[in-house]
Amino acid sequence: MKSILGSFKVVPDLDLLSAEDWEPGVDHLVDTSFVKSMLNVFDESALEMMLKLSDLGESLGTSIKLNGVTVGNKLCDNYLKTLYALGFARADRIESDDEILFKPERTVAALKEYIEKTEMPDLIVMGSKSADNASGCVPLFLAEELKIPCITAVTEMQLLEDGKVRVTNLYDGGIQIRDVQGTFMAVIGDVPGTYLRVPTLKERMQRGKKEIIPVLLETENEEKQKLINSHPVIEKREGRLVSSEDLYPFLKERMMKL
Amino acid sequence: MGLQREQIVEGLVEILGSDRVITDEKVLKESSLDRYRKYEQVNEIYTQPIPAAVVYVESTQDVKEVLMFANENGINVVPRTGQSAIEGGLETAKENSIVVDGSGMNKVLKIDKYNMQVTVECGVPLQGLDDMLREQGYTTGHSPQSKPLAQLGGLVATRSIGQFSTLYGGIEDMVVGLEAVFPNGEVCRVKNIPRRAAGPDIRHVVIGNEGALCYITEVTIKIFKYQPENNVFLGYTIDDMKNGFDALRAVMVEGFKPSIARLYDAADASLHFDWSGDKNVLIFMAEGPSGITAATAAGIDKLVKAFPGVDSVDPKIIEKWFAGLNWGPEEIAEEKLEILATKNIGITTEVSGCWDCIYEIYDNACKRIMEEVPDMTLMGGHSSHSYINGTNMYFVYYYNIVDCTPEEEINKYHNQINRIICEEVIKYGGSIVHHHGLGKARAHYVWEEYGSSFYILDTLKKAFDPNGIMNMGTLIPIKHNEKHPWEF
Ligand SMILES: Cc1cc2nc3c(=O)[nH]c(=O)nc-3n(C[C@H](O)[C@H](O)[C@H](O)COP(=O)(O)OP(=O)(O)OC[C@H]3O[C@@H](n4cnc5c(N)ncnc54)[C@H](O)[C@@H]3O)c2cc1C
Repeated sequence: MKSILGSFKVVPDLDLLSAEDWEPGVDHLVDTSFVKSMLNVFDESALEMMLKLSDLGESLGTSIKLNGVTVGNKLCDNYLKTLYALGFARADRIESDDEILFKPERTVAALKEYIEKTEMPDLIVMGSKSADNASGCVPLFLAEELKIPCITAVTEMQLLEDGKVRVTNLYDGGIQIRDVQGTFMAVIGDVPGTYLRVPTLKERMQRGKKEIIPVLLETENEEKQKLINSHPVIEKREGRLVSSEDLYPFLKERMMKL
Repeated sequence: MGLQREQIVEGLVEILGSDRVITDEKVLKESSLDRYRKYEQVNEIYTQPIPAAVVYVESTQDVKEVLMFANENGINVVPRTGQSAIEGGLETAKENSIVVDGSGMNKVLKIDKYNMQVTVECGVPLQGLDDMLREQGYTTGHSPQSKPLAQLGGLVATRSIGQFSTLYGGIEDMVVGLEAVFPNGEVCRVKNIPRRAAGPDIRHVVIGNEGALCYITEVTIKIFKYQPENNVFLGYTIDDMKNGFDALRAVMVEGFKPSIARLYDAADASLHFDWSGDKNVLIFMAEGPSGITAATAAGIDKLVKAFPGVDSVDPKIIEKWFAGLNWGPEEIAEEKLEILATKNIGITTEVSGCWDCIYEIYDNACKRIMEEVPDMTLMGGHSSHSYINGTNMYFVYYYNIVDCTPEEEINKYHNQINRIICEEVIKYGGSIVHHHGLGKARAHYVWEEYGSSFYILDTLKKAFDPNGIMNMGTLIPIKHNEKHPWEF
């Protein structure tokens, strides 16, 4: 394992909204422009996992290069500087000022182009979705575009001596642990209690002062995968309300079927 | 020979009944400290003597009997109400202490809208009281960040202050009368009057006593008209921190009375705002009748904009931000998880100084802390309570806890930072405590803080608490390490 790329999103901290702030505005959107931003929680877990993998690599004598990327506006620069201060080799922002929620294909295209222009990492780490109402499609589409395997709902990763990565993820209500070799995408699920470590002021002075020059891409709107429709999966128990009078005939009928 | 632990518990059960005498080990351990030892607290490591019992009092008579029992038998008593103390005031510094919890004394006794005052028992939660008053068009005007946690007894005992203090004052400006019980069982009531000149103002023996002189059982505070529809918010960025202090000073000196007047340095502002970048932030709010708020806001706006390097900020951002500033149990629980996961902790120390030295106090302390204390991740602060002759400085600092156990943290980091702040404040003649109380940590600087007036404090302590049973170690330390006062 030589390099890991973590892609993250900066989102408004919705906990700071009061009940009345949730009133949708004219465009049916809740105005979050005045609240402070935060790292999307899944991405925060993902970035901390990258740092832990790098720590593990160091203890095994392997140096792992960490790169971070986000799609967004200038607001993200502080977060990128924090990554530099934490020892990331590279932290880039793909310039974008519009709301790209519900347009996963655009984020995918941008990230793909970015990877092609920079380097293909050995592992890509992404949070499972960027907001409660986000589609969660980006990591899956990107893995497909890059033709690499993708593991979802990852809760833990460990670097093994032979260079493989031991990945723990939630799968069909259970926990799956497997050792993975070769390039893959890890989609980080809900890992409560994980927070990104905090760089010291000295580290910020030494490494976090780097100017963030936004990456401008050509193929912003080129989309191969297009989300045409989405609908909720309705999972209901099969059941019937039976009145006391109907109970006996109902049970009899079921017995007969058996 | 003092009473054994079991005998203390027996004596308390006799007074209050077994239901109100708690000896559960977990409760006792958790009651041995407060948020001054936040890192020990989140790690559930307890280094202070564990109390003999936590007792729940429900009346002045209960308090009187418990205090008399403790006084006769030389047992340390730690009064408490909302448990939001952050300076060691709740630490049980002596073996077999009794924690006397007044949160059950939570009756609002009288809302007197004609005389604009409300009388409450010590365990009335401020949030509940103010919400109730606001529904009726009134407010206490008291709004500390810990409003969802703190109760009236503790708020008075610590000389607390709220976010609207520039208009309403600190709790000392709000208390019109009170009732307190002294260790010998004496119950004293100070009557509710607008003002008097009948000798020293004895309210001030009780206000701010931090449970080290007496137990506050009842307080009467002023109420005010609540007119949020007239509130006007103002926000600015300002390039230079020194100019920021000058702008605050100008607002006060020119005679404006905003309810909020705040100056954040860039580091502290970065914790609250995305838009401030490397700039400092000035915030004001005008409150009261509409004619006054409009004039106050217009006057402040003109004054502030005349300073160099000032840019206006959308007032809506300030208004919305301010609404989410208070801390309740949820934030505390979230903070615990974060500290445990990152080993990064945030602490505050609040001091005050006159206009001619506050910048130096701020600047020197920040520089020294960044140079002298390892593993700092953020160092900054804000001024949030201004007066005609000066202002406060609320230092906000975060550090990573590296290579040390929870037991060692306090001496390696927190005490060192406090030491530097206190040294700088004393050097410039400010006060080492603006509103949290001296507690048990900064009590080690009580002599420098008081100078020759320590005589008055010491005499009060000896007169009202001759047997040394009231929250020992608070205000005046029990043991003091002359050579290394900050190692305890
Ligand atoms: C998140 C947070 C924000 C805060 N913000 C502010 C702020 O904005 N302004 C501010 O002033 N403070 C603030 N504080 C500090 C704290 O909330 C105040 O000191 C508050 O007044 C304590 O009230 P309490 O009821 O919680 O008292 P406790 O924590 O129970 O006790 C505090 C002290 O008072 C004594 N005491 C308590 N009850 C009595 C009594 N009935 N008789 C005699 N002594 C008693 C105790 O022995 C102790 O020394 C903050 C604390 C936190 C945790």
